[in-house]
Amino acid sequence: MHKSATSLLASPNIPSENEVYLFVSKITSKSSRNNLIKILQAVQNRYGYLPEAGLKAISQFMKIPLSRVYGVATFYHQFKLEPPGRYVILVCMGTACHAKGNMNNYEFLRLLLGLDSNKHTTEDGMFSLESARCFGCCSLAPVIMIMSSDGSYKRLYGHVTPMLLKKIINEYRVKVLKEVTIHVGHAKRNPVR
Amino acid sequence: MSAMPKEILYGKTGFKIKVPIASCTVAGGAEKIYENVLAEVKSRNVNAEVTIVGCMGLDFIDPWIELARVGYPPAIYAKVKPEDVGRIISNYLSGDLSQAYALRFRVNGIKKEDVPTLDELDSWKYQVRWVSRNCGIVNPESIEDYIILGGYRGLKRSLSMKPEEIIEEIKKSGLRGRGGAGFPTWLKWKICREQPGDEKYVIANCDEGDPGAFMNRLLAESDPHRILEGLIIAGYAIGAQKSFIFVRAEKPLAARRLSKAVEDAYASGFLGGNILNSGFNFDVEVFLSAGAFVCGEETAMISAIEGGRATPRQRPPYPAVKGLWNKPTIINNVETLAHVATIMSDGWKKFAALGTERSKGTKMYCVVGSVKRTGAYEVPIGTSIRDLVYRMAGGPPEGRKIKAVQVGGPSGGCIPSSMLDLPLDYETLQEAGAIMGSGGIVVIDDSNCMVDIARFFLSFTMAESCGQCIPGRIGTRLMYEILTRITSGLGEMRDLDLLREICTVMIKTCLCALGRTAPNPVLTTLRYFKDEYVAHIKEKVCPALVCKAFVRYKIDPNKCKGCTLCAKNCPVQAISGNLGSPHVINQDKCVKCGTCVEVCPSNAIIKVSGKIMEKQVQVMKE
Repeated sequence: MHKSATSLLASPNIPSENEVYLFVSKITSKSSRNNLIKILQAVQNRYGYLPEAGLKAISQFMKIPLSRVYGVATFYHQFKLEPPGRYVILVCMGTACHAKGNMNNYEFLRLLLGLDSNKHTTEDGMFSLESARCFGCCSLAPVIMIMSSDGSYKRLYGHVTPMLLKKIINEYRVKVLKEVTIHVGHAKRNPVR
Repeated sequence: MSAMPKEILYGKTGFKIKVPIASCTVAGGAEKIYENVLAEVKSRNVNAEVTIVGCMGLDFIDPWIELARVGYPPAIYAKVKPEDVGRIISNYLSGDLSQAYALRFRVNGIKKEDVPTLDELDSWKYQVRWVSRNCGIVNPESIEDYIILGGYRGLKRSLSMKPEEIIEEIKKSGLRGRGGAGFPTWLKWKICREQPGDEKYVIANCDEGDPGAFMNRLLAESDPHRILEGLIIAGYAIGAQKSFIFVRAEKPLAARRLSKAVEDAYASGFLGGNILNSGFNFDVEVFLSAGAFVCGEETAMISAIEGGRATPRQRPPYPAVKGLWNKPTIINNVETLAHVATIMSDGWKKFAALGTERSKGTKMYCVVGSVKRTGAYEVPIGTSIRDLVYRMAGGPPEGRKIKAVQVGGPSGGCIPSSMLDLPLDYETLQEAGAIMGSGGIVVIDDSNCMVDIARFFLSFTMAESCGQCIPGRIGTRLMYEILTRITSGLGEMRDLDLLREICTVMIKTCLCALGRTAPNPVLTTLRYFKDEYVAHIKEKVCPALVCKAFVRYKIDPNKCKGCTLCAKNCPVQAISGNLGSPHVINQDKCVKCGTCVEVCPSNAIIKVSGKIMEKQVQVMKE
């Protein structure tokens, strides 16, 4: 029961096309001189990624060819076209972190989470694994950052090793499980519609 | 230091506790410390002013706090844990300073114990803190703090001068761009000033992308108003009315602090219309970059602000002539702008008295990697690498030997330890094959493989290449593939000539500086560490035991107690053995992650050089 509950809650919220469309129409109508990057940032801040419907709506409302919108969206690191996991693990690939073996940590996490070069999010939607550029916290190298997909929660871990990573990942699994159990219990008492 | 105004030192209540909230200290738990300090102050009913400050650059003592009460010496406590806060406050108030890391200055009558002052520390006394003077001292979210310490004086003075006079004063100071290339700031301004038209732009470059460099982040998080002041002066000098601060979205705190500074500056009349009744109008917008290393290139940054892909443009025309929306534009690094503010308030003479004949003033360097005291240090230009790495950063940790220092990020080069006496200035570094870049210095020790380091940088530039020009797009990929071949045991001697050839082509034909400098890590490692390349290719060994193709993990049966810890933790179940008897690693399964080494309580697992056999090479090739 736990397992299904976890995947239920951990799976990302996919917004409806209609909702995305309305949101984009709202933000693009605000000012006359819009900047494509800012609009894309607004959409991603809202949904955690750039849904296809969002790109199409932006193209339509801003009168920019979809190919250009897609070109900009895929150029910058910040933008994601796939919904991220509940928690995004960012492994720093700065020079100091590399020199202190963060590549090993990255490989270890891939094995631990059952991911490969084409698969960045775990089956249950709990974790996404990404590499990141320098966080500027080189004194703590090697570092990883774990953030919630909406960016509201962020935590940096310094001096990480495979064993520490294993512990950290477990902590998050427990944490999510707790949240889910509370949520499920709550839903039972107050059935929604 | 003791000349600092009382209000900044001791606060309005005569007792001030400073907690640094910056990316580096937050990672160490500073937010919890801040909460605890507030709670302790409340529960003890001491009349203390708790304030946030930025980072002072001594990252190795993070997270730190500073306590200062009138009559007591201000004391800095290092590596504070949230639970220590109560004890620190009690001890400090009882006059026991023995646990402090350093004092700002001593106070007569209070026993000094054996605690040094900041000026007695090696990491501090050789510094000349010019742009970083306020870092760790002012509240970065308070414009009042900045003004009390003389802030916006430079702007007031500048507005009473003619723009040409300001440019002349910057010329006399000898300030050169701190973003990397070292172009004279005054010349850039003059060219832009002389362009016809009223619509001109200034862009503050805070898009710090070099891995290992964090001085821009530190400045923006710790003293954002200094950057802003320099930016307004630059705008006045070239005749611009609008400017952008280009910040990475990955550095959210820096962006937030800069935005707050802009807001406060508007409210105080330093921005907006008719600034300080001078008739000068100026607006600033903080632009969040979506993240791409190539944005550090001026013309690419312009493309990004215009809302497109950040692809560089052909130069000339230079941005100072034809930049943002085809209007004359100057782009200055935030450290350069901070220098402008300081020069205009303190006068050019003090600045020009520091540095070398051709490069004046100070520069901030971040020293990271294999050193005891990681941090950001501000020193006069021309200081030797050795002074920075050994005297200030304390040299390598016990048992390690420095092999090289990597200066200037992915566009820079690796300088061998035999050349550490080189002075850090633009020309000398260029001759050695590196560049000043933003000033990141990564110290590489004997546990690192230079070929692997070169490969790492190429993986970076390959991923960051914008894909526009062919030499940049294909050259970086080719070099990365060759280096990968060498580090996986498939290299041949002619690969080295091929590498050199690609480098030459890229230097000559790439459209932008990112492409033209991308070969630097390869060229310098080839120049200074050729023997390591040869060892990988001819002897099929990695001398530093880094490249996975050349290493093997082995369990010493004499030391192994059979505790099964390694087998339990191996992510690929490559270790087998029964409880109580020595274990064995299955080399075919092993992914060489090193987890077993870390968990083994009896140090029984060792990394050995596993020469690749001809047979294996054949299999890999197939």
